[in-house]
Amino acid sequence: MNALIGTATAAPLVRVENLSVGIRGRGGAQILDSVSFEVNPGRITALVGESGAGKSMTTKAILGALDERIFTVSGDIEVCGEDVEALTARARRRYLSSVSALVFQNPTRALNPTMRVGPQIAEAMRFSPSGPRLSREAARERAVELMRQVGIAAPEERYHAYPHQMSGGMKQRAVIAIALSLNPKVLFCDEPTSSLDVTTQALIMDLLDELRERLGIGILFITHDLVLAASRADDVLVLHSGRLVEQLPARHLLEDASMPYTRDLIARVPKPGQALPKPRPLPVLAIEPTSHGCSYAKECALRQDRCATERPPIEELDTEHKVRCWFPIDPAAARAGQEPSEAAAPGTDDIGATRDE
Amino acid sequence: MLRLVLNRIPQMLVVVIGCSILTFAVVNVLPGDIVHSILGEDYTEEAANQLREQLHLNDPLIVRYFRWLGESVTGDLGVSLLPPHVPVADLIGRSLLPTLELVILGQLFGLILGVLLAVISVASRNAIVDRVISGLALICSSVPGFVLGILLLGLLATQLHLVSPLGWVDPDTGGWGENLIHITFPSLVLGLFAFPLFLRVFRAELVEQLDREDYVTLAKLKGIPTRRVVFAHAVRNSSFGLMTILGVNTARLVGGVVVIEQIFSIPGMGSLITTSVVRHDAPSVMASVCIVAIFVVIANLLVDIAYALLDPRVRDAT
Amino acid sequence: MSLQDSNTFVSADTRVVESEASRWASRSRGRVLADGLRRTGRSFRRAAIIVPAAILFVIALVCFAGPAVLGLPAPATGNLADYLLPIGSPGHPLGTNALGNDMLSQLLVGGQVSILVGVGATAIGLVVGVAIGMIAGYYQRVVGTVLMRVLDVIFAFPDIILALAIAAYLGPSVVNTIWAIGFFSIAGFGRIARAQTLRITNFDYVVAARASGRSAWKILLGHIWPNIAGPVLAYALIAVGYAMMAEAALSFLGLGVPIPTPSWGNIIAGSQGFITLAPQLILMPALAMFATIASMNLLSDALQARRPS
Repeated sequence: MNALIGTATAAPLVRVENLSVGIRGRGGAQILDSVSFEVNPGRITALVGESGAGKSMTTKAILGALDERIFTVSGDIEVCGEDVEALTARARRRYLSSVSALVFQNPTRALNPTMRVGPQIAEAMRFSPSGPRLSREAARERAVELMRQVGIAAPEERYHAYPHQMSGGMKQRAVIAIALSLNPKVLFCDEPTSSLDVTTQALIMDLLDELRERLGIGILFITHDLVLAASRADDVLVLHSGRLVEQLPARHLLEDASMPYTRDLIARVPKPGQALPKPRPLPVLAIEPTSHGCSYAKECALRQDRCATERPPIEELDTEHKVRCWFPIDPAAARAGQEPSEAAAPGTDDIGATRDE
Repeated sequence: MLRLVLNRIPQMLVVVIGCSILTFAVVNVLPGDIVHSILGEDYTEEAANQLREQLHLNDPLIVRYFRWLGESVTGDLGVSLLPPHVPVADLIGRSLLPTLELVILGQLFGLILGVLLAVISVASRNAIVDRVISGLALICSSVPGFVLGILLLGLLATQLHLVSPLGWVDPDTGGWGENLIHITFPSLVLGLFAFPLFLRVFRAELVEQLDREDYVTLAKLKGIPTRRVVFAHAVRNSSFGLMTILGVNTARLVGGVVVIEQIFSIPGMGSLITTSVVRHDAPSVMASVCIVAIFVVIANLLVDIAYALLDPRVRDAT
Repeated sequence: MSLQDSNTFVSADTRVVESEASRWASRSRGRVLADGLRRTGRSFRRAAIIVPAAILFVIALVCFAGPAVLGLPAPATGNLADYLLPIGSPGHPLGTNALGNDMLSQLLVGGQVSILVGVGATAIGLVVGVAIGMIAGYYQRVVGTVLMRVLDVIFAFPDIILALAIAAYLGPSVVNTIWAIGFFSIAGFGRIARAQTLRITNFDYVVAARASGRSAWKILLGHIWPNIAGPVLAYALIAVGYAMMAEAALSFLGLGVPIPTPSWGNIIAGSQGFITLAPQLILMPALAMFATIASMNLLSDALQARRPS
């Protein structure tokens, strides 16, 4: 597990081992099923998947933001070497706020609409027990400095602006400034650019990239955008129905993906000049236990008997590439235009696939 | 801000004129006969005709309405039909203060009680505390205000002698201190009648803000202490619903004041309206009912302005 | 309740539920507990509707059928010699009032009148108010603005005051009380119906129906009413409570239901002077009123909570 990325020399910032999240009182439906991964310093790790795959759940579980009355969480979660699951809720909140921060999808909702932006950035530095507890003036100076760092023009003036007086990209920069205010070592970004237009999206990504390089922080980057992940992240984790199904370096994502699910996702990214890809029939969104078999078995074009009944383990194809599939597509063979050798003709075994229901 | 006020004034005028039409219609179109109520059971046709002539009751309704409206606008609200035939303006001038005090203090007590209990029930995160508080609110919102008043008066004034059953001391004769002491208890009863609505709305908003809003999650993740999250962030953003209720509650509360004034023998607008309505004193009824309606309309405008002051988004939009 | 207890309780229960649920439930003790909690939660929610509804039904049944079934004397035919008998007196299970009238009979017949006024006034407010509100929400330009100002006018009048004036000029009677209270309840319904209609009218399917030339009546009744009926009816339950309280206040001021016809409001009003001598005369109708109005408020809450948001 630890040897996953060749360049990872320092200790991982986030280490998640067998993280499972279930809903109470629903017969134990699983939202996350034994997810394991690491986030390393100075790297952007992208978590991709469709809606409902459990991307946001993962960060929420790490940050302890799940309502215990509704969810059950198990597994090991280490943030900066500390086992946060062992901490009390209060200690965990305090510890996490000192080493990590979260950037939300929608900056409009992440900012208090009735409070000026500057004081919101300064707030943690003044009031958080894990912060430096600066005076009003000191926190203000630092907040203005942070605003300048994240590329907000005229920070002294913007300090007094209300969120609704700023553009979406500007608001997201403010949220990032809030995130940076306590000098985190790791940043959780939950679809940070999904509500922004393409130009702003690129600017925000540039900003994250720069922060990663300059401050050496690690970023867990959640997105449904495969192209964005491939172009901007270092490592990619693909999540399907709460399971980690593939893990590989981002630069290889578009060519070397081996899990049929990942390939299907890539194939369905619309490309200019081509006809729109046929939409994949959406599975009924139902929370149900899929304890046996592969989570993608029902929709996979390459499924075989075994897929429906036996749960595939996560296996290493090489040191950087892992996949949870009985019959992974060989990237080299796929590039050569051949069918994967072991995969039988698609659709021959509907009975096997449906029996599980 | 100025634009908001300027926008609202024509709207207010329309509503005020509507109020005057409605009041005039109720008093003059509905069957109760003014002549009958002035002269009593036995009167001669001659006397009746003379009276009708004197009060211009033979003119068409529309003429009478505009005459009344014109006179009212110039400050002449007419003379009470009842002896000692005091000018209605004097009657109203005397009665305004107690009612204003009652409504303002009642709102204040209701607001304080509602907000306080809402924050307690949300911040305590204790199911029993929450239940007790919502039970209290249910009792107060399911018993008519005057029953609450009668029961509390019976218990605290008649039985325990803790408060005076008299709700009003004229500040000119007894001083403002005495005046406030005596008006406090009736205002509290009014506050009990008013607070469930505040509590309900504020509690729901507070829970919504604390459970649903990302900025609250963000504040928590930054490690901001819970107390600051509640008071610096959630309370302010939850207070907009309260403003609306403040407006709606004004009319309700004035209705409650009518009854409360009766129970505590307070010589306010409510008592004036009740007496003049019961005795069909048309000029008093029309003027006092209209004045009350105008006050409600003004209160609602003030609420809108306060809303704009509190919410920077609205402030910028208007 | 210990885990063991709840476990046996639930596993007895799971035998009857569908196989799938029992399969999941039987997986672990923790899940059995969770499953049990969920089911208890659901039945709580169901109870939140059934209990107040049942209380209301019983109150209405007792008030309307009680006097005849129990063979009670008419409410205002008491003997002055039997005045202020305490609760439990022979022949007068709840005692008598200052005029010697049987309190049980007064309460039940008074309940009939109070319920009648509450429901009748609300019905007037509902029909007129919803019609005005829907039209105001649908035709948002001239008609809507005019109707909204009309509602604003009614709303600017403190409820009791308007009802007071109307009742005074119509003369005190049960029917006039209903009209007076019904008139002021129009504004509340109008506002709710308008706000809800505005919400629905902007939905694409209504916009589409309008664009395709479907008649306004068909859209209002076919598309909009079914969508606003829930909140409007939930408000109606609260409005019945308001109307009953208004009736009580009017009666207290001497302009509501005239004596000798009893209503909960005028029983309380008439007994005010006996608060120290015979507090039960006030407490009993107040309690009856509280039970009715509180049940209605709870029922309204439960119905609203049940609607998916």
